Amino acid sequence: MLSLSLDDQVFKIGLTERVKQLKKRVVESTPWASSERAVLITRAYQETEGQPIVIRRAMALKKILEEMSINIADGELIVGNQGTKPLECLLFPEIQVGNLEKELDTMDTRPWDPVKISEEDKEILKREVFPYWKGKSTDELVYSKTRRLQGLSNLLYLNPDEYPIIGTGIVDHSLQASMGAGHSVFSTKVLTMGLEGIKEEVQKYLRALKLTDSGAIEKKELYEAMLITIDAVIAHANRYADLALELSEKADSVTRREELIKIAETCRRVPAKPARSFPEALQAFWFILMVIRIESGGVGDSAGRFDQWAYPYFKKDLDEGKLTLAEALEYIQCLWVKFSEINYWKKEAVARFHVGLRPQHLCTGGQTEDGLDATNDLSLLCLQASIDVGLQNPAIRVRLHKNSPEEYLIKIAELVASGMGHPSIFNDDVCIKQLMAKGVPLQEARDYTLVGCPAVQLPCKEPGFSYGGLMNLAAALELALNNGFWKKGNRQVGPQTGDPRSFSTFEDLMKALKQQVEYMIEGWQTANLIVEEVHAKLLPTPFHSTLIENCIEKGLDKTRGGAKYNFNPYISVVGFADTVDSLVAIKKLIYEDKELTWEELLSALDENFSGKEILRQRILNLPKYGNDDDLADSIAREVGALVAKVVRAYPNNMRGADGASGISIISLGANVSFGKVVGALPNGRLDGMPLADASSPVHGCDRNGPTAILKSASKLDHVLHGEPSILNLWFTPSALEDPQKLVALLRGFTDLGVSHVQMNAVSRETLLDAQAHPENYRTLLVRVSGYNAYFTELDKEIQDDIIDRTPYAAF
Amino acid sequence: MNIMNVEGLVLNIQRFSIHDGPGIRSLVFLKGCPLRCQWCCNPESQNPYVEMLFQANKCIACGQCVKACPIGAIGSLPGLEVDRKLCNNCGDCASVCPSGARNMAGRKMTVSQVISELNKDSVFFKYGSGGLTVSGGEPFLQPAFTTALLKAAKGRGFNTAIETCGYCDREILRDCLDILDEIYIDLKCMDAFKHQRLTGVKNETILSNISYISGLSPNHRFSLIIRMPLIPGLNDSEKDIDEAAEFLGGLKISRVELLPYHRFGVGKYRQLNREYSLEQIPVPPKESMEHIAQKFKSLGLNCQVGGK
Ligand code: SF4
Ligand code: SF4
Repeated sequence: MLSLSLDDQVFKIGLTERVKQLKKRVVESTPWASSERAVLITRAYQETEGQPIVIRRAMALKKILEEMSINIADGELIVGNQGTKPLECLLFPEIQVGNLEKELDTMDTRPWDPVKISEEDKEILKREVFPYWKGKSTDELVYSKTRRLQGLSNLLYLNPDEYPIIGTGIVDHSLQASMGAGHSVFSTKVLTMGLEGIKEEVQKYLRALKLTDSGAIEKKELYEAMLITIDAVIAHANRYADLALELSEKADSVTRREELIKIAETCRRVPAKPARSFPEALQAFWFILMVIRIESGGVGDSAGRFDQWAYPYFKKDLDEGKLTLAEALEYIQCLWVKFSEINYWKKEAVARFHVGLRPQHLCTGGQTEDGLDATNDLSLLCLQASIDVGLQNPAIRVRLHKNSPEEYLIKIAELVASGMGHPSIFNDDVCIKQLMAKGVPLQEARDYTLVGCPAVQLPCKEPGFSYGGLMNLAAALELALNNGFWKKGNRQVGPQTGDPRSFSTFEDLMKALKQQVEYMIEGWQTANLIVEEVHAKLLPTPFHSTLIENCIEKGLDKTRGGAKYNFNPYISVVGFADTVDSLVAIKKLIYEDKELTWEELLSALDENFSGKEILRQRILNLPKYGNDDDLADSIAREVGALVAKVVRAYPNNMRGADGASGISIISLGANVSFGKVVGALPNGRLDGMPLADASSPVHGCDRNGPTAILKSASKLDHVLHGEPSILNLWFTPSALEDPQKLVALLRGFTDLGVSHVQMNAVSRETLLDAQAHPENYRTLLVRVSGYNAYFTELDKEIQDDIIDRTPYAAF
Repeated sequence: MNIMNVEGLVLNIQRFSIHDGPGIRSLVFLKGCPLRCQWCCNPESQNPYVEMLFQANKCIACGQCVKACPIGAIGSLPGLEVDRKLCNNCGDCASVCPSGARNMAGRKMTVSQVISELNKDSVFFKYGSGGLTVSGGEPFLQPAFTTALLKAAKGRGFNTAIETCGYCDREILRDCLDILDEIYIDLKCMDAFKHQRLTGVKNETILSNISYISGLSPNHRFSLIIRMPLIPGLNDSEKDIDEAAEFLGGLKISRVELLPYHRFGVGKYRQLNREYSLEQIPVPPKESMEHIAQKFKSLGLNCQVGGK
């Protein structure tokens, strides 16, 4: 229920001076790495040699939390960090030593997400860290296990004999193989029970253990590890309390002194004890997020349904007069800036796929367990804070349903117009059904949130690690067109599914495609199991496991099946629209109109359409996915369902067998590098060009505007897919001026049952690029009253004028 | 005749139109217009017949159109431009053109065909009173079709709007008033001679139609919106604005929308091999538009820059 109206003063405050300074500190930072965490974990492992792995992991976390440098920046209200300065990439030698060592000297000069590191730190790493981990890190183990499977490494690795690996770009597991689990959701248990309460729970189970029972020893070790970490986290918060006190004595103003004293009190209280106030809840959350990052080194961890779990504290403080709306907003803004401090070290092969990726998710809106609207005043303040702060993080994920209030939609539209590339918008109706199809009861499903890039997840009931790598669907089609032979790699990669010249019907081609997909998915599943097995063995996360539902009860780490639900990870499907459009072209030209033979098509593809421009133009003007065209859209549905069914045949993982997650049609930036490994395609795409973005139409093939794109996307079987697919829509700023128009578009989106949409303001950079490369932007529309124009067809002078009026993409 | 079978000459149907009435709309452009405004940004909508457009930048010079043209209208001029003196807009070239460089502006459609296009976005029309806007060209140049289309759309619960130049018979207008939610009429210039010079016709009919509709508006549900295209140096003098303000001040209208001159249509003239006569006119600065809007507002008129 909302009590705020949009004309309330709080929506007009903007950034306070304090937050402006904090933001400046982050914006002016560049990514960097230090040897600190790596050295501490190495020493910890050396000190615990021979002990059970969970204990070693716990002791390692303890050592890091005790000895890592901490700081409190000027003006900060929420404290805690993973590094001493913003944008530090923590290094995890236990996970990525092989790549780290190999890329040590190139990481600051590489073109994708360069990371600064000092010569001194490099020396320390070489001397103290690398020698210890050599051959022991998870990425090396994953690689050596994978390499033993010939067919699999042929599918995954460009050169299977070379380490560190470069992927083929056909199926890719490099992210999971080289990072921690991540993709987890904040546990509100910390707020309600406090770590001390959780500690009692662990102790209770520990006491109840009968050591003569089978498996009891391992449980005992886990419980002891959990207790070590809980104490360590409480002690870590106390270090901040001490630091805050110390700083308070030197503070240059009375106000700041008082703030620091209050921060000290907060850090003494939480996360040890239950939170009593809004600031305490935020602080407890932040500590936990930092610790989980430090413990597991994954990506895509999520704050979960922030506006839901923080609301009781917010409301109580407001009602009791302890907090004003303006103060609450400032706290949120401060927290938002903290989100942007986080960074990850990615190996080059991953950085290349996922340039600039450092998502910290936070979800707002949606429904209560009972299906009522859950939007509240805090939801609106979250969106406002994102507009005010103007940074990419936290990446806001909003849940929409048919009863979402108007004010909420208007704020969403305003956030879209601010041009930061969020929020990502999810459809409750679809996401809830997706979970129910996996066997989750309705009421639980209504509490879903979003993690990763993105996936639906039940807060603290799943172990995280829902991301399961990528598959290149366009490559699958190309393999089907070439009897399993990979043209770019010049080798047989897929099964021999026949020469297309012998396919007498379109269905024969679909059968071949299905076999190629099956082969790829079989490889993907095997590769996942390897990663998971290695994680379960080497990377248990005892602290995080205290927070995940059922881990304590079962006495099982979350990497080993402790969580309540253990769905198989989902696979990201890249090159969707290219594949669909290619199939449309084949179906129409070869099988329906019979104006083209396989021979002609295959030779045109081999020659990259050179000398075949008439054919290519003919193809480019055929029906395309993304135009609300039933022919193209029905093939899109068929292809999506084909892949989803193959993936869903694998419901199991190392942690259990609660069901398959399915597929997400998404590109995560990989559409560019995946495009490089695929030759010319039957949709007219030329050799090596980028593949389509996520589930959006092929660049330049959407001729009927955003409503038609949404209609096309609505014809996919999202519930069968099991995970939301990413749909990006682009607008010039003039289309975003009136929030009411976006509100109507969003209401339609909700009704249509599309799983996700993201509306982006076209940036100045995009328009400049469109001016330089009009061929890539044929359908970029500029709208004014009574007229619309394709940007690329306008005179340069007019284009310049539009560019002048378009803001730069912000940081 | 069943209204669903009435045929009209449609230039284009543009989905997700957001500056021509409330909500999200589909804009149906009809072909043919009695006026020839010098600044027209949709010149391909002016002639009441199908026309061939040529977009040179899409052409791959494959020569197929040259072979296809039954009267040899392509091939003699450089750059594969068509000889407009010969071309009879038969469309044979466009049907063989692989790249879409040649295409035909205008196609015959029945009301039923247009409605099925509109239905595609009906899920969006439901919110924020979206629906159909009939535009042009001049919709009332095809009165039977326009009326039938509006009726059919209204029957499906769509919000209906029309954009007209107001240069039409009063009876035709009157017959549509009950099936319209929004009427947009252009007011281009108060001065009769100037109007004739700028648009090719006198403004008497237009002004009297505006007054007439305004007089009826209290008894109807439609809103009347006056749109003023403002072309620097042509119709935006102090005097032009004052006269317009005086005229509008005496009427019952819901708002005035000022449409600043833009040059988006320039390329279309080229595609039609026609001259664009306003090459030298700059796009008006935002401030001067705001200044004029202020003037209207000070007279109690609801006025905004740009379409809502
Ligand atoms: S429209 Fe007909 S006459 Fe005109 S150029 Fe094309 S084919 Fe020739
Ligand atoms: S057919 Fe089309 S692409 Fe070929 S020359 Fe004619 S206009 Fe150009």
